[in-house]
Amino acid sequence: MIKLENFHKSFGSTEVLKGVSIEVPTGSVTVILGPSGSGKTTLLRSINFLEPADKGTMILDDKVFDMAAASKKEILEVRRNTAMVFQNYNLFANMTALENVKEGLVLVQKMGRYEALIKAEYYLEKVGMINREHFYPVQLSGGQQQRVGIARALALNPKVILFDEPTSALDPELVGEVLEIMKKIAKEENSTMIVVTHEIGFARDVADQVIFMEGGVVVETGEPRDIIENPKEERTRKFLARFSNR
Amino acid sequence: MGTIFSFEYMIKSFPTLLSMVDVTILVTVVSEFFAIILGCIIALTRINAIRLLDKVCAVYVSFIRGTPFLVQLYLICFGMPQVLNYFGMENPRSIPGILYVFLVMSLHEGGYIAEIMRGSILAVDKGQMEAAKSIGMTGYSAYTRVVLPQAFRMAIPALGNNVVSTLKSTALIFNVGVVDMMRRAELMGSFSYRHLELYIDIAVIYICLCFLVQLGTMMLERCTRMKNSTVS
Amino acid sequence: MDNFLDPVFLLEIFEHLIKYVPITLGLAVGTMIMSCLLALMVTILRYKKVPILGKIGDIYVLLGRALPSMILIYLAFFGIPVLLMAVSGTNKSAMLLSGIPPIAFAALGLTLHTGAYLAEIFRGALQSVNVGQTEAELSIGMTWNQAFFRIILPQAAVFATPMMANQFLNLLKGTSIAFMISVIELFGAANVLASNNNAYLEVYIVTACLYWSTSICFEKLASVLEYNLSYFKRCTSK
Repeated sequence: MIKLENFHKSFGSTEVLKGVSIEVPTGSVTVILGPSGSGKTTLLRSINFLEPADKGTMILDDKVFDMAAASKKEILEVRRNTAMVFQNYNLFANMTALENVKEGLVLVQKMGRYEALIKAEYYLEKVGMINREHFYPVQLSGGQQQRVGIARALALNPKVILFDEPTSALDPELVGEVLEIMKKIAKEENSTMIVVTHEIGFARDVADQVIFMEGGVVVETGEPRDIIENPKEERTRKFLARFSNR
Repeated sequence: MGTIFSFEYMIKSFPTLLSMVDVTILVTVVSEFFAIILGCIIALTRINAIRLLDKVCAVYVSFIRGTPFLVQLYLICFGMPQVLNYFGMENPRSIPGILYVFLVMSLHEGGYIAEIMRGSILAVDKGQMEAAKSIGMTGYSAYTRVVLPQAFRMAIPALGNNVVSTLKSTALIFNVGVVDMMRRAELMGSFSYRHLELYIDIAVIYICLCFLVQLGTMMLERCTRMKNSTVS
Repeated sequence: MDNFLDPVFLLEIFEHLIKYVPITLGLAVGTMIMSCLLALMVTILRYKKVPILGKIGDIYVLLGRALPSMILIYLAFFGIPVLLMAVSGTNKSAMLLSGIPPIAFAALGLTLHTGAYLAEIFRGALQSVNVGQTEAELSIGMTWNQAFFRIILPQAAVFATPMMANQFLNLLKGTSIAFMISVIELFGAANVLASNNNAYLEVYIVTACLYWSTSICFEKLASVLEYNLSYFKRCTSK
C-alpha cells in the first residue's frame, strides 16, 4: 500500500500542490485525471523525489517518510522501491534496449549478469520488444521506446510503478500499443500502478480507482464507473464533458 | 652564406628533428590525460554548484582562459621554484623542466576542457539523469554510467580540437629548457644560419601530427556514431 | 627579495608594465584588422570557387590552422628575408630589411595564423545564411557583388560576431609570442624586468593579472555586443 498525506509543493510563488492526500492499495491501478496544470505530474514526480515536496508524509507499505526532511538514504530507498515511466521515455541513449533494462538490475539490485540478462529478456518479451533488444533508442519508434521504458520499470519489481503521461508524447497511432501493454501488465503482474493520463478509456477499462485533480487539490475520488459516468462534482463533469464532445 | 635556400640541408636535417618528436607527443598525451580528468572534475563541480568550490573553479577557468599560455608557463616554471625555495626546499631548480611543463599544460588544457565538458554535460537531456535516479541509481553511478558516456560522445569533436591546440602549444615549451624539436632547431640554426630550412621541417612535422589527430578524431566519431545510427 | 610578494614591489612592477599594455593592444588590433581583410579575401575566393586561387585558399586555411603560431612567426621572420633575397638575387634587400622592426614580422605571422581561423569562421557564417537569400537578390537583378556585400555579408556578420570576439581574445593572448623575435610588448617587457630583478614570481603574477583584466574587459564588451546583435535579430524575426 502507498499512502500520501497532505502533500504541498510550490514553485516560487505558485502553489502547485495544496495538500493532496491519496491512498493506493497494493496491487491496484489508480488513474489520476485532471486538466493540465492541476499538479498531477508534480504529485507523481514528488513521490520519486524528482521534485521534492515542501511538506507531506508518505507511507510505503509500513515505512513512513517525511517528504520535506528525507535523508539521502531514505530518498534512495524510496527510489529503489518505486519506478517511473516517463512521458518522453528517457531511455538511456547510450545503451541498447536490453542494456537499459539490465542496468538497474545489475547496478542497483546487484544482480548477477546472467540472472539480470534472463530477467531483462523476460520483461522485454512481456512488452513485445524481445526482437529489438539490441537496438539503440534512436532506432526505435516512440511506442517501442515507451514499451522498453515500461520493461525497465517492471524489471525492478517495484512496490509501485508511476506512469507520467506515458502516451501523451506519442503519435496517435502508437498510443494503442502502449495502452495494451499497460493493460496486460495491470492484469498479469498484479503491480501497484499510479497512472497520470488523459486517456479516459484506459481509466474506465483498467483502473480500480480514479482520482480527479484540479488546481492542486483532489476534487473527487472513487471507482471509475462512478467518477466517469456519474461525477458528483461540477468541475469533474466539465472536464469530462470536453472529452466526450471530442 | 652560399646559396640562399638549401633544399639539401632541409632534407638532411629532417630525420634529426623528427627524432625529437617523441618529446612533443609525450607532453601532449600526458597533459591531455590529466587535463581531461581535471576538466571533468571542474565541470561537475560547477554543474552541481558545490558551494564555494564552484566559485573557485569559475575563477580558475576564467584565469586560464584570460591569460596567455606563455605567461602561465613562465609563472609556474620560473615562479614556482621561488615559492618552493621560500617554503624551505633546498634546490627546486633540480626538478626537471618537463615536470613543470606537464603541470602547466594539464592545468591550462584542463581549464579549456572544463568548459567543453560543461557544455556537453548540460547538453545531455535532463531526462537521462531523472531516469537514472528513478531506478534508484546513486548520483555517482548515474554520471559514470549514463551522463558522462553520452557527454563524451558529444564532446569528441571539441576534444579533438583541444588535442590539436595542446599539440601546437608544445611548440612553446622549449622556452623553459625542455629539449624538443624547436630547441634542437635553434641549436642547429645557430651553427648553420639556416633557420628557415629547419623551421619548414618542423612545420611539416606539426602538420602531419595535426592531421593524424584529426584523422583519429574522425574515426572515433564514426565509431561512436555507429551505435546511434538509425536503421536503414 | 627578503619579502615574499612585497605589495610595494608588486605595485612598482605594475606601474612599469602597464605602459606596455597599449603596445600589446595595438599589435592585437592591427593584426585583427589585417586578419579580417585576409580572411575576407580568402573566403570570397573559396566561396566563389575561383579556380586555383580557391584551392590555394583551402590549403592556406588547412595549414594556417595546423601550424603553431610560433612557427608561423618564425617562418615569416626567417623566410621573408630569404624570399626577398631570392627575388632580388642579392643580399641588398637583407640590408633593407634590417630597418623593418620585428613587430611587423610578428604582426605578419599572427595575421597568417588568425586569418586562417577567421576564414573558417566566415565560411561557417556564410553557410548559415539561407540559400534563398542569394537567389532572391539575383532574381531582382542585383549583381553578385551587390548581393554579397549588401545582403549576405551583414547577415553572416551577425552570426560570426561571437566567434570573432573569441578569436580576438585568442589573438590578444597570442601576441605574447612576439617576444620570441625580440618585440618588447607586455610579455617581452615582463621578461626583461623579471631577469633584471631576479623576481620571476612577482613579475609574472602582475603580467598575468594585466592580461587577465584586459581579457575580461574585452569579454564583457563582446557579450554586450552579442546581446545587442541578438536583440536586433529577435526584433526582426518577430
